[in-house]
Amino acid sequence: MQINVKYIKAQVAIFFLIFNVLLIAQDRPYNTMAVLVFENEGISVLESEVLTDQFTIALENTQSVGAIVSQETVKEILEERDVSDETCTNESCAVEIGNLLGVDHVVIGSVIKAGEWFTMEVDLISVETGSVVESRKSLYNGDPNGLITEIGLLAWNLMNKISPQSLLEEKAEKEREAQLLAEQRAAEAAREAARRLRQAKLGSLLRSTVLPGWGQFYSGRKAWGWIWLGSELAIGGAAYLTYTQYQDAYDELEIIYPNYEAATDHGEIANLKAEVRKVLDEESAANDQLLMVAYAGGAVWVFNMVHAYLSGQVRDEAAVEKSGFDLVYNPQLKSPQLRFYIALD
Amino acid sequence: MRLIKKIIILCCLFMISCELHEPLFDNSLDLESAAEKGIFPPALVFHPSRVETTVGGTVGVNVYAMKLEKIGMAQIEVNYDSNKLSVKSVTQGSLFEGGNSPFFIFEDDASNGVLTIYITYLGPGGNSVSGTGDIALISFNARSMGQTEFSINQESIILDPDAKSIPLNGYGKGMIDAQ
Repeated sequence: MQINVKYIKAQVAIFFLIFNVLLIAQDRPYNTMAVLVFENEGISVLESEVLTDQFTIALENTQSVGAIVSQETVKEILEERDVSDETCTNESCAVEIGNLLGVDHVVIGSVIKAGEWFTMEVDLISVETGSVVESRKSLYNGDPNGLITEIGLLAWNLMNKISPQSLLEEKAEKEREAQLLAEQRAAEAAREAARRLRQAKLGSLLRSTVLPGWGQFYSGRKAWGWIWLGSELAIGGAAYLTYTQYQDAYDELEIIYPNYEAATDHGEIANLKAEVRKVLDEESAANDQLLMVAYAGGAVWVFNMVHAYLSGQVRDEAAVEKSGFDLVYNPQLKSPQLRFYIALD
Repeated sequence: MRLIKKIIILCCLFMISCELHEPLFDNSLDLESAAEKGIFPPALVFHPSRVETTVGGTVGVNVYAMKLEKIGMAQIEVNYDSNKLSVKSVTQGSLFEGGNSPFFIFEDDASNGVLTIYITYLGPGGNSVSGTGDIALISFNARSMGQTEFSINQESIILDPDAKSIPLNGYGKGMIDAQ
């Protein structure tokens, strides 16, 4: 028969534990208790184990439990029985492990990190009845170091005891630090956002200075981009037509006026003079119109620039890159390929 | 890029468009323009009245009778700056044609800058001409750079076939701009 020394040591430890418990059990609401390693999500197993240890220490400090089976002892016994506590997240499992450990109560819990938020949840389960005796949940947002304080407070809360002043002060201090850190981060983020916005506005302005609407396209305001570009193109078209009229009148004058100067017949001179005046009026009208169109074009251009600057915003890359072309390397064919992609959302 | 080029071209067009003709309407046979200069028919004028040439170049200027009635003879004196111009040749114009062959001579006093042109139908009761037409074509030679004026002297005489003087209301001036 093979004697397992570690198992005997654990059993002896539990015996003395129960013995001690019997001595002090009368003052404390819970006799024996085991804390299983908290389920972790968004944090590492090691972090989860540290938090479980801290919770256990805080639980001991509450002096509400006669004896708490240490993490090491729990692990040793469970290993001997080929049982893992890693997947133990419900009451029945906790009861099973509690029976193996020979304790009255078992604490199971979880620490979940989602974004900047930590959610800690603990359940105190009676091994005898298999029901949840107490359940607490705590939400925390701040420096991860503050989690230890939070988990300590959670232990006091689970035991329905008023948290010690030192822990509360620590929490307040952590909260102040977290607040300060959050403010610093917020200020930094605001500065960064302002810098990016300024850059985006200038980038937009520069592009719209080169080509109306380009800045708006750059800012992701495609409708406005088309409006400005379309307006400028329409004005450009009008300018081109007006310029054609002007040029026609100009060319006609280049022919008629020398005829007028060369004419020697009074009747012909009078006719040519009238014709020159008529074409001259046309030339002048076309020129005035051209100037007006040019001013309109200039004004639209300037307004487009102002709009590009005012409406300039940091681009949402995901929104902008909904479709496009690029050149990619295909490892299977071992050659570059032209790729077309389009977002399906 | 092509669009940008088009826009640049359009911008250039805007600048070009600022150029407008500003005609002088200085045809010396234009009755309206002549009246503005104080010349009313009947008159003797140059056509064209403004000519450009180069130094050493030759330009032709016609002497025109403007709305004259029944001219039988004309003695036209043209004053010019002999330092800047010289008369190269004078030929008869188309006004005095038909009937008896008109008598046409000219005399150039280069030292004083006076060119005198005579034209007449020979014999009493000879032909006469009316209307507007060129009497003579003077070829000037530009001797130096700059603008120089020449003019029809008020001593010029126009007679009808009966040798009666026809009063003139205007005596034209001309200008040669030698570059």
